[in-house]
Amino acid sequence: MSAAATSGRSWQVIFTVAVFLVVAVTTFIIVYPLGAMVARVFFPDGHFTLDAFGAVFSDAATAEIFWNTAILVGFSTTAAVAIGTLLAWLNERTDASFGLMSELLPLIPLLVPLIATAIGWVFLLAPTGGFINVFWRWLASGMGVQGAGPLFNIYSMKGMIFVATLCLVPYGYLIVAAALRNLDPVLEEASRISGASPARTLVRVTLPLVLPAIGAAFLLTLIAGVALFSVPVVIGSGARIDVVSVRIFRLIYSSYPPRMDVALVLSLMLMAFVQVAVLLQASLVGRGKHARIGGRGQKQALVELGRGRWIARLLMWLFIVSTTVLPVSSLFLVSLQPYWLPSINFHTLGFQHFRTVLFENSLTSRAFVNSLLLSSVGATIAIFVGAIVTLFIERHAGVVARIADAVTALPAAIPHTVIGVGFLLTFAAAPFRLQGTFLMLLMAYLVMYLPQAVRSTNAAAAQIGRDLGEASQVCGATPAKTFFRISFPLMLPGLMAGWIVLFSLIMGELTVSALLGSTRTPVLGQVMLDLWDGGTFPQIAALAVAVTVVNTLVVAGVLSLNRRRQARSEA
Amino acid sequence: MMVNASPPGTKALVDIAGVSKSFRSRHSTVTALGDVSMLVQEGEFVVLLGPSGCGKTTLLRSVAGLEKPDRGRIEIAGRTVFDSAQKIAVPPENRGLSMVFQSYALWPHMTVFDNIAYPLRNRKRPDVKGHVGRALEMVRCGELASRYPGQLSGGQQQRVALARALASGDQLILFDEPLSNVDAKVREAVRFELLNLQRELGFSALYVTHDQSEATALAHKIVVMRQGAVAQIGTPREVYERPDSRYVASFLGATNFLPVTVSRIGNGEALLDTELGALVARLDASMGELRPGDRALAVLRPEKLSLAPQSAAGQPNVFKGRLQRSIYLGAFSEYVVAFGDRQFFVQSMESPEIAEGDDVYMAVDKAKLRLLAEEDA
Repeated sequence: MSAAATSGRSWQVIFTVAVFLVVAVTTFIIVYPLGAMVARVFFPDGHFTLDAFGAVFSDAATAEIFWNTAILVGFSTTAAVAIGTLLAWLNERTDASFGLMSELLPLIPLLVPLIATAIGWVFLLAPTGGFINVFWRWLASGMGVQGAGPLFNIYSMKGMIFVATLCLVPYGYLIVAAALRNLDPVLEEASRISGASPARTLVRVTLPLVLPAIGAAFLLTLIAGVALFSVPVVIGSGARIDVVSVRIFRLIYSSYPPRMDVALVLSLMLMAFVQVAVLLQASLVGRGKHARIGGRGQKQALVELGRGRWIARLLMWLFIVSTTVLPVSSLFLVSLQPYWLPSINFHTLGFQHFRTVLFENSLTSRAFVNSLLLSSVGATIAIFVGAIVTLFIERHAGVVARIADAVTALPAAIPHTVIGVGFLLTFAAAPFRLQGTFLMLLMAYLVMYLPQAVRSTNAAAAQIGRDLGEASQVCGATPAKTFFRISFPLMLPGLMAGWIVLFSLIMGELTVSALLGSTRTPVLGQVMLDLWDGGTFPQIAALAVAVTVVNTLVVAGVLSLNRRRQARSEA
Repeated sequence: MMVNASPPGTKALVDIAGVSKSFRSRHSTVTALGDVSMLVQEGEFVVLLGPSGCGKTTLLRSVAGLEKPDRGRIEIAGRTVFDSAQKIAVPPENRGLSMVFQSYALWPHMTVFDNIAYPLRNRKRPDVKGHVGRALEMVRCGELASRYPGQLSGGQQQRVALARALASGDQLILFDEPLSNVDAKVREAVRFELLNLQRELGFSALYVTHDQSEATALAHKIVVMRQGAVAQIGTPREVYERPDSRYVASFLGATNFLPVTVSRIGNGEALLDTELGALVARLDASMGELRPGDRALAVLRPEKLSLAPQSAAGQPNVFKGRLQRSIYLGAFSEYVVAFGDRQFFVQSMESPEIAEGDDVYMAVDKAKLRLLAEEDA
């Protein structure tokens, strides 16, 4: 056999070994903490016991916490999937979509860390000091109504559901939008030709075809919802409404002595609930006969909404305004004030808090540097691993490929709270002793965002026809050369798009950061939470605005790089 | 460009022996190729012809190395590139052949020049620039070198893909339905150019298509495939005029079939009983042994039949029917003639004017009908 063939083979061996390593390490990082949690709950001292469950169920607060969680997650998940589906349809399939905004709509909410969105809304709608409520009372007194109440009290279950919905919309949006994009437009055109109106086509053809995707969106949103920490920790704490994710955190960090046993039981119950939901969804999708979604979205006729188009655009703007513009404006306003004031006094505004959080306060400035590092390193590694897994699965249709596919998707079915608690129990302790290290945070981020990374690398690869790689092979290129000259450059725009999503997610991550962060390696989410608990509002606002600006710059930079590359090869 | 009709050599360039391949899904196993053997001679243009799903593309991809057969052996230029028994499977990049893909597979991030130079650089050929330039000239796209594929029309992309395959000067070029994505005008032009280039440059071609006219126009040899097996191999004239099964006869062009029973054999002719009446056919060695009493199927090509409004009574091989439909197509006309329940399609260059519903006489030339033994039918 020639030398080229041998080098091709050795490349394949390296490739296979890399995938094997990814699978093995991922499995270990998932299975080991979960196993340790189960062992610790059921066999705390080597003997089987249900004592930990007893402690949980004898506590009167438990039922209330679960009820609160169910209400919050139930309403916000349903609303978020409904809004996400509507926005996805408007954006992908109707003439309401326009230009750059269509491309950015799902990305914009990612620019603001979730905790910052929640705090921004508190600044707007806190009952006494919220800007909107203050303005409302001023308006009422101007019209002669004295002693009017707040327009809306954010410190309530309704307030929490509202902000949680805003935070959860992108999860469902991305999945449904991808399904709509892959839907062969001919199916819809055939419906229109058969005499169905756009609305009827939507209800009878489009929605049923993407129903499995909507189901998947619901599941993913639900998993994100039960682990949602930033909204309940900011708003729920003020409203005295406790939910499971926050309770777990408080049991470990705000009780003395820490009630790790109870935290573990609650985590396992979250895990069990999510697994039931996963199985339920799998059986529902498996049972139904759904048409295969085929064909690549060619130039498709968009549904003309007529005058409804302006209502649709209004809705899209409303979404951007409420997820980003309003909370960031209120954060910016507070960041310029000496302290959180409901009225604006231009003489006292200044940038001193930015100086403080970025340069003077060593905790916040170190958190900034750490988060930047973790985000760029984490996103790069995750995308690289994702690309290897994607290409491997594409080439090898065997058992190993199927295992690799399943294992890398596994963390998506584990609430982030559970990942955090599991790490705390295992890798933070002996023999690893990684508590408070950069490495442990990086590991946790990689595991929890691996499914997201693989999804985006799969999408990037799917855009390249198999032909292009095969043509390169036939032209005498080794697999390595085909990867570096053809597959990788062609995947690059998709990989970069995946990278910026991961970067923004890690920059604003709070659930795991709060559990695993420490003063040794402070990160942004955790530091913002500390500042919030300490009531240093202008500093947290300054930090939030700074993060949003950095995210925006990175995303804009990568996107414009992408556009320039694409412009070169298109007419 | 003049067509220099260099006949194919007699040395086998591609030798495919006993190749089988099946695809297993969770529910079923589909045999894509069942024990296929065939040869491509040096300088020969071989077309794999068949309907979709007949295994022709799988066979082509197996030669390219993009698909791994379950069993069999493939040799290219005397070198074994695949052998299931010896566990040899040379990867595609080391098979030293070129391929034109159905989707063209031009890399959108490279210029036309870089696309064509890519195989040359991979194989470390000298004078890349000269080769690329000449290849582009051959397909008359010299001015496109610095463009990106996204800026080209479908026909131009087609030509660039062809240039990429020609540039490296490989002995063997594989074609996977390369003309199925361009419109009819461009298709005919590119087909003619491809024919000229192959006859002039003398490379061997293995070409997959489901289009019968493309196959007969391009091929030295047609391999008709059916359900993963070879149905017939022959020159275009052989497979069209002497099909050896009903399948081949009906896949290549429109055909009338008529069940017959042999009543007498003699003087190299057969007298046949048919539902139209007595029919005389001249026998030919390729029809096999026929004996009185044998049942067979007569294959009557529409253009080998002729129609007339009148006929002298008692003429042999002339049958009276009723004209059901007449379709005037300019260069020729098509007719549907009914004999009781049976319909015959007739094509005529003379386009006799006969009114629909009138009686008509259909004449069968005894030298131009073919008999298929019952088991082939």
